[in-house]
Amino acid sequence: MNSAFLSCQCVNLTVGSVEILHNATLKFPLNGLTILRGENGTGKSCFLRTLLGLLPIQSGHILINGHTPTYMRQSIGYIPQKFSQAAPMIPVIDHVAAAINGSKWGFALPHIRRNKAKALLEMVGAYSLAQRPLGVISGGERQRVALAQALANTPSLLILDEPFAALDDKAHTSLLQLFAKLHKDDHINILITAHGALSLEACPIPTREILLEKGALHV
Amino acid sequence: MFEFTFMQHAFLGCFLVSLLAGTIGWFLLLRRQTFAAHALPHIGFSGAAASILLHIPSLLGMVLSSMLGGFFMGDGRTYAPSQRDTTTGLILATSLGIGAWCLHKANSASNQATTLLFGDVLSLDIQTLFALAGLTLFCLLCLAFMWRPLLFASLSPDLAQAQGVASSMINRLFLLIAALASSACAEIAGALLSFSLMIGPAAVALKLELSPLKGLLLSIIGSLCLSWGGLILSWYSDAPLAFWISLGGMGLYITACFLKRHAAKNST
Repeated sequence: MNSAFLSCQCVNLTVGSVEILHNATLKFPLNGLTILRGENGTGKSCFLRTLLGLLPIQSGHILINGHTPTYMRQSIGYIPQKFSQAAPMIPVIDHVAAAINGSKWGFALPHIRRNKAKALLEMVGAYSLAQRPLGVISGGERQRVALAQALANTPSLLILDEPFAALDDKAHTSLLQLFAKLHKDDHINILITAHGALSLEACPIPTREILLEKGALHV
Repeated sequence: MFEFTFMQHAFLGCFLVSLLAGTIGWFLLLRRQTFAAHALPHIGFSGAAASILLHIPSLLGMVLSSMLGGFFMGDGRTYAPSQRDTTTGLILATSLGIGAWCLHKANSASNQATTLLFGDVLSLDIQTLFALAGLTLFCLLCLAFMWRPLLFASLSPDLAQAQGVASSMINRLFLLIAALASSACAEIAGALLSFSLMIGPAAVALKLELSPLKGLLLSIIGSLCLSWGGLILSWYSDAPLAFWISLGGMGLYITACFLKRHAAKNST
């Protein structure tokens, strides 16, 4: 996806009484790894939710690869900052299987979805967790399962909100290596929010940083 | 006992209702909507009480009022669990008040209220059985149609929303189906205890950490064991069916806890 880009034109985004974006205009490529930075409370998560079409902007235009966020969301995989506490007793594989074409109506034959879910778990190095209930796995393992869920519908863009927040150094490096693998093998671009320094030598793919500050986006 | 027509009807009615109770109950527990499972048949009770006053079939009154309750309980603006419970509680209290007033006005509080509250499985006629069969088929078809988005929104609400699943619409549709199912269950176990048929077996399936289809299957089998077992026990004892169902539900859950603990001990 070399032509992948994100374009914001005169975007105004306010959540409650907090102004997140004020007349923000910026166009930047999404090829490789894009890191969105900004201080706590600047609205990085809200901006990501806007890119998914979950939060409406007051005015302006946001285009991802030339399309609106609502149009694009079937092609975007998303991992929120906080994992849902719903259904911790259900096995990991079923959580991943449910995400495969999960927005389509009708019944799906379970064995087809479970086979694809196994392949996804294998892809992110979490196959051994397949039969364990979701509620008993660690934060790093949960991150990998969430990644398998986000990859369920073969997205062209992955959006991850603070993916390194609860990870130790080893898991941190391992996740960056996984990003590089996903980009090289499957041409998936990745947009993340992050606070601290990242060991980017583990992720040898094109990388850029975007700063969200005082209602504006800067490259 | 099987030579009596009323017992054949009772077993058939229990079979139909168990199919529904096991399926809907599993989803209700998975979605943490146990309070809704408790409230819906009680709201249905008020509709049935109103139907006595209006001289219309009680099953119809029960279905209409519980669906109305389910519609408001599934309001998208009350999707957060804390707000959801408040709304459910308010709707429940209001409808029970209306139900009490209807029974008072109908001057038939004692006998008919007892039947509505505790059910009368032995008086199921062929028309009611057809109505139950229709309700069961309709609810199961609806659930099959919304299976994927309902399961996705129940397991991963955030991801489902990000993928375009209309969670509030799914919630409302599901509660409408749950309302229909609870009306059917109330015909067997009564408004007071119909949710025990939904909750007990589903709680067992979730406790055993089974996958969705296995969990649903166990939940249905559990409901069937409770309702048929309860029917047989109430034939040989003087206790009502609802008593055996509620007691059996607790028994099944305690057994599941024991099995789970035993399995955990063996694996360490």
